[in-house]
Amino acid sequence: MTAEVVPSGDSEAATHSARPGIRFDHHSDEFARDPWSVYAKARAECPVAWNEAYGGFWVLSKYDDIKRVALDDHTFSSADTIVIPPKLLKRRAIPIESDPPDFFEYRRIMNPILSPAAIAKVEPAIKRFIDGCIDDFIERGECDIVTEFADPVPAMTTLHILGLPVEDWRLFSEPLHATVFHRQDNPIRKDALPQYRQMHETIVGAIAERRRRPADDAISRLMTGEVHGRPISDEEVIEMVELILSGGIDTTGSAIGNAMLYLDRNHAARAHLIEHLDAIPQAVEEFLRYEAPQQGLARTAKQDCVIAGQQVRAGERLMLLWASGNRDEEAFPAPDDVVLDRFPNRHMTFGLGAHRCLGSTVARRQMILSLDALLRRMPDFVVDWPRVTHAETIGVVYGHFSIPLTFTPGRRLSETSLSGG
Amino acid sequence: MRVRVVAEKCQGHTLCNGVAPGLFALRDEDGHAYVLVDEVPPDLEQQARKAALGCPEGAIEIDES
Repeated sequence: MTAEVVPSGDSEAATHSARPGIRFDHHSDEFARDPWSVYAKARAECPVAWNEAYGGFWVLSKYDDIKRVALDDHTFSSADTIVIPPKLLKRRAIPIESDPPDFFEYRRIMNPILSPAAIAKVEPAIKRFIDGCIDDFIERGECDIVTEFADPVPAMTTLHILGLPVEDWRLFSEPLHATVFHRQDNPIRKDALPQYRQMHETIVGAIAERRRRPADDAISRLMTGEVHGRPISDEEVIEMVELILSGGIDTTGSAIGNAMLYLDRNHAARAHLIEHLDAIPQAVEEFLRYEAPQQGLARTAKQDCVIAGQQVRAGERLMLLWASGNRDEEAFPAPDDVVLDRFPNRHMTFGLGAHRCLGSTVARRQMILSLDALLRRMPDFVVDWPRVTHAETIGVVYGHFSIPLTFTPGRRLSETSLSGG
Repeated sequence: MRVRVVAEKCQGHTLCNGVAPGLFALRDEDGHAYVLVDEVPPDLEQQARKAALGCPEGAIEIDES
């Protein structure tokens, strides 16, 4: 897609005295097909530009500008909204939608359940989910890697960590998919509201149950937290659990799907990784840089400030395009090439600064273990490209509805089915 | 050579531990990094530089003296 760069002094932008403008709709179908050319044009012609869409917001596309804002929670707030346009359901996701000092209180409570030490204990379960999902289609010689693998594995992993029933993963992933992958005007989002309520009720029920009988799981641990010296409220626990679900499910799944598509387009890269499975962790960093599953998040300026020569006013929103920063030629040599062993690779896919994605360790482990298992068990997979469909909007998460593939059938590892049929 | 993790900058990306597990460990409670050695052994100096170069927060400082 081509972004239209609006010259300074354009009538629409005139109210903002000569701001460089850019026009694109990050929720449009055109954008979903090719966000990269929009970012390239923005970086080249107007790295800090005003977009009139969705009530107006600044678009930051260069690595250093994005980093500067992400590191400055004092000037730029996350508490207002971090997605554009704001969510329809006025529910707060904490800690991601909070500012210091509250942010640090919430983060301190949440850190231990997703720390590398905690995730190391979850790893056997992740392997079980991966092997089980592959078992369910390996004998068929064909599958949809999104609906049968990249959806369930992160959903099951997230539910396992929380202590919610893994077999009910669709109850959680369906309403989250409906929201994140569809435009706000799509009736599917309204239709998903009963499922949303059901998900919410399940979480409320799980909290009540643990109030009576604490368990060895994340929800129970969150409930013991203290915020500024007072016990955490049930509402705060719910907001945290919902963030773990929404942050944990669609992002990692999308990244797995995108990596599979890349490995189908690039047989040399696939052959290299099959030959050198120990190169997968570094390759995963590169896949994360190349196609950030989370394209960008917003901040709101708390005070007037100047970014790269542009006057930003208090109250204005800024979109931090991690996916564009990752392709910034001033930050990464040959940014549009996938270099499997790229180093250094200081990509901003998990964000930077205090709000750095808390789930980055579990996301990385799932990606590494998934690619390892998929490349071992179905190394000759072929994507059925005409049937690949991208999400209706990739403005929040860069993912696909469907990636069908075929491969030489293999053997199950276990006779018992994970999904129960 | 000495190496230091600037606590105010480290956000727990964990990449230093991947590059140089003999130099950087991760705290159980939040995955933020800390240094395991007073003096970097000569055979790990290259890893220390690599860890500093790879840190997205620029949180690792090296004193070559």
